[in-house]
Amino acid sequence: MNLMHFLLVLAIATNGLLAGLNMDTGLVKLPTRRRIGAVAYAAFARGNDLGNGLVVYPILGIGAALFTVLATALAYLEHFSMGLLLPLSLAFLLSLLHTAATTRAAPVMLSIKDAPDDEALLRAKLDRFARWHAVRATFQVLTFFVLLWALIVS
Amino acid sequence: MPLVALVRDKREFLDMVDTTVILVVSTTALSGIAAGTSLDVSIRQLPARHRIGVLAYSVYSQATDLGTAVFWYISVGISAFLLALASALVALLQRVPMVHTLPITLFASLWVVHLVNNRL
Repeated sequence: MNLMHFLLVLAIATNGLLAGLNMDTGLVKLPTRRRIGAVAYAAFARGNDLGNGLVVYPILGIGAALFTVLATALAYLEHFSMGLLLPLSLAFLLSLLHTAATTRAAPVMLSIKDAPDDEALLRAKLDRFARWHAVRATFQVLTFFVLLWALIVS
Repeated sequence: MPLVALVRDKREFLDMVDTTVILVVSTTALSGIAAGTSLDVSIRQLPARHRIGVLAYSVYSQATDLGTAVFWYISVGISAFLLALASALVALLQRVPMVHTLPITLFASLWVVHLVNNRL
């Protein structure tokens, strides 16, 4: 296995895990707030997103973006074919967009930690977080699929 | 061997390989998402019960069971399992080299173990 394949496999593995984590949050966890109410969901989020989530998400998020950037940089430096450069460049762009969306979503979730248990206030914060999470999850899942395309081409 | 037959054989061979590659890539895509989902439940959601208490966690857990969780987990799990089995079957039927068939079959076997473990 050469260095390009090694980096691609690492990028796919971390992006795949992050894609599953994001889809679970968007499709299973966040919709629960409508059933149990914003206050009860915020209590759960303080133990989940603001518990181990503070370690897991940054590690996976930074790792996935880093391996994607490294694989793309290597492809340019080693003058790989356009067939591989195209999906890798697209994955790099999607990774940047995911990071940008995360910089909007994360502060909203962090602000829930010390927010009072006010239903209306927490509902507004959680709705805002859910919107930005949907954006970043879309970019991130697309990154994963585009990297799989790059692996096939390589 | 006539040239036409050789070309036809080569095309058939490439078609067979393409089928295996498509199945393996599809399995990888779904399995990656399934692994991320499991990781989220194991190291983010479940440990939350120690921080917020089992009663508060139970309220959340029961609400997810009534929501999209059942549909999402079952559809992702079953789809990935079926694709993994199809990949192994096609690889064996097409006599793909053992260096590729072995990990594909091992992967499908691990999905069987995963599903059996879920039933227990």
